[in-house]
Amino acid sequence: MRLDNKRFLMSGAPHIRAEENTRSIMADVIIALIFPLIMAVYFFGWRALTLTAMSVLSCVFFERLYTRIAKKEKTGGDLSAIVTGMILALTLPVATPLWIPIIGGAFAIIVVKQLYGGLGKNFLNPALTARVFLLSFPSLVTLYTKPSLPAGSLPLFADIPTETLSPELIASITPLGKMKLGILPGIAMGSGDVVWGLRDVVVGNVAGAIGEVSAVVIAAAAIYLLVRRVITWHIPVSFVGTVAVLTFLFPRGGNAPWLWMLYSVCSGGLFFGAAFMATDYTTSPVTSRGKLLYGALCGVLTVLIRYFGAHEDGVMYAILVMNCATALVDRYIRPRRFGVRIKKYKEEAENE
Amino acid sequence: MAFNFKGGIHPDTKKSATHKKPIEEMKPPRVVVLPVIMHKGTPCGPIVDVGERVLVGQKIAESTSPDSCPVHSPVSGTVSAVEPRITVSGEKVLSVVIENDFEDEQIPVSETYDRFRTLSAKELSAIAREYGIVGLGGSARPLSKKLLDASDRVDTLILNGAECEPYVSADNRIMVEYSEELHDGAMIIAKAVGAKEVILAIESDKAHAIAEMRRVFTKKSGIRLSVVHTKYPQGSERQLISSLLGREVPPEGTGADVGVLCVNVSTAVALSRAVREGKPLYERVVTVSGSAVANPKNLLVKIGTPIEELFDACGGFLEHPDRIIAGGPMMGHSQFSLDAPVQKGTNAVLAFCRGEDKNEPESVCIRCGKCVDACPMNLMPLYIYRAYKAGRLSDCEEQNVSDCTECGCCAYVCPARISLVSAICAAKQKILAAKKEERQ
Repeated sequence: MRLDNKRFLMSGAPHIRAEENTRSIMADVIIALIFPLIMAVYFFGWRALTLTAMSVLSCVFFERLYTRIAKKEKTGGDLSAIVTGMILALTLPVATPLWIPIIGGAFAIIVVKQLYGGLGKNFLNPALTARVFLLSFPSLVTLYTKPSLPAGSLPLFADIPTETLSPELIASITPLGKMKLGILPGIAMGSGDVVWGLRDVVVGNVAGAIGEVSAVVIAAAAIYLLVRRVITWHIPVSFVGTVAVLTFLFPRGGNAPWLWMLYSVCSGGLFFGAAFMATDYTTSPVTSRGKLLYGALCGVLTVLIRYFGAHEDGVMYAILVMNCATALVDRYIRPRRFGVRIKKYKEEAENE
Repeated sequence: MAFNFKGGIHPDTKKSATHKKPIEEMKPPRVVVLPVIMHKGTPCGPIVDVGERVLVGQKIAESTSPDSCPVHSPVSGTVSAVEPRITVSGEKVLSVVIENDFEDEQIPVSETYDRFRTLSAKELSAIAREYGIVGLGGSARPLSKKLLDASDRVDTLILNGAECEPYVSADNRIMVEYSEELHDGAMIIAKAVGAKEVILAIESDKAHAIAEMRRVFTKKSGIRLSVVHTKYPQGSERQLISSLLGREVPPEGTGADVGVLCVNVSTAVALSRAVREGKPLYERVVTVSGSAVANPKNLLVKIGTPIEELFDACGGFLEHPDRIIAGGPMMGHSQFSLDAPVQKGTNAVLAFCRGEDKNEPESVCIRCGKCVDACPMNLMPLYIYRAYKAGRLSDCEEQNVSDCTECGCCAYVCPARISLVSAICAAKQKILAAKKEERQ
């Protein structure tokens, strides 16, 4: 073939790029979040799906609105607002009124993300911060129902009136609520008390936030993210590992260390937080060693809050505190400079 | 695989289009364009005039500076112009243009070295310089300087046959087809610089070359064959030394600082020919490949041939290429036109169809940290980029920006397609310029 036009595209090296781009990474996170979403529907019914849909729609809407008003470049293509919406919804209990995730989505996108400069610039995790902000409505975001209720027990869209909700549907306490009292969830505190066995806690057949209950499915989602190289193992392993070690060493209520540790690790938001929140690129360190430290400190704070704080679970607060420390970790934990091992070689040569 | 280094990437090697194709000698071009600088160092000055007749192998440009390397004519013919011409790096450089008379009249060989096994480093360095030999792996650094620098300081000679850049198979073919010359070259260098150990490094995906090297480099020859992990930039000198010996070249240092001389296999072959046949470096093997090329090949090309003729020799283009690259896709130069000539350091010319580069408009950094994991020099490219964009050059320095070898791993993995290498290069240049100003 003869060329009529002998002019070509110019750019700096390299001239080939990897398959992955921001959009494909976000798509992988969405796929991984579908794992716990399926379990949410399985344990808590279709209302879990409407809750998630509201949250996602809210995040996408406010992202569009803000970028239009602020005349920023369109950012919808990166799918990150969908991820934020899904994570926010999955940390709520199923009985939450549907306007709550709408407010939460607006707060996450506009206040936490866009006002700090948008994708990649926010120093706090938007979904997580919004979830904590929603605690301004304490009675509405902490009403836990029992899992595996008969179909149709909860309305798909309507608000659930707290006062009139049948006592059969309400879980008076969550597994972590019991552990706060030093009692294993598998042990009854009195007649009529709900008992969550180890198996329930592992598969997620317990009262809790819709996406956080199933440790085993979240672990599978985390493995998907690892295989797809979206995340590295450092944060999830050091986070969960630190909680495991601390709870094994310091069991409460005179419980057997192994049992206390297993219940501690599988209850509450630990797996979800370690897999999806603490690994958020923007708010976590970039080096491997920094990630290990970050995860470990998240674990320490989680156990401290669970043991000595006012809240049942400490995962979200632990991650938020560590979000603030990320810049510091990246500043002081850097890869060793290449070539400074020269001394070692010279010493070896002299010894010979 | 035992021989590995930290960081790096695994791009699709894309070598199957050419790696089994024997080197084909391209017919000499009608005109050659020889830039007076084809190496890193001081430029040469032309020593021929317009209208003068030159012979094959005749020196046409040289300099007295020790970090320079002369240029020789690959054809016999008449000098038709001495003027600035476009080169593969995009700059216009003073070039000697020679019209080929196709007589192929050789300059008489001045001296060959039968006693080649007893050459000293100084003698060998002088030969490397006289015959215009530079690093052919892409660095284009004068070999003479490297040999002098290594003399009596090194215990190990590494022959670099890693060839980690995707698409490129020139070194691979040289190992398969010129194995005897490679053996000679290795022995000459090892003897001259006093290296006790000689290691030949090949990436694990080059089965054919490995088999040939096993045949030629028997145990008796004293050359150890090391099959290294197939990973970019395995062929980068610092990474290869780290993979093979666990030694790290200090910042701003050279291989000699850790007792190693690292020479590309093609360079060793060129040196062997200079020593034994008195043949200057005026031709080299170039891989012509990429999705837009009709019939990809490994060509033996006269230095100074316009790259357009290389594509013509490979059947031209299948469709209009989106992008033309001189060199490998990771560190090569993209070409605005097809006019620039092949230089001593040009190991490949590539033509890509639309979409082959997977490039997209740049978006924002999401701090994924993939650039940090990929950087073989242990840098944090995202922070260098951020500091540079904010105009904080001192922060770039504090992040050791000068350690960057511009391998391109960070930009390759960047999901936001940020031009990290361009930004880092710009930061380095600005820092150098500021330092220069300070000194004045």
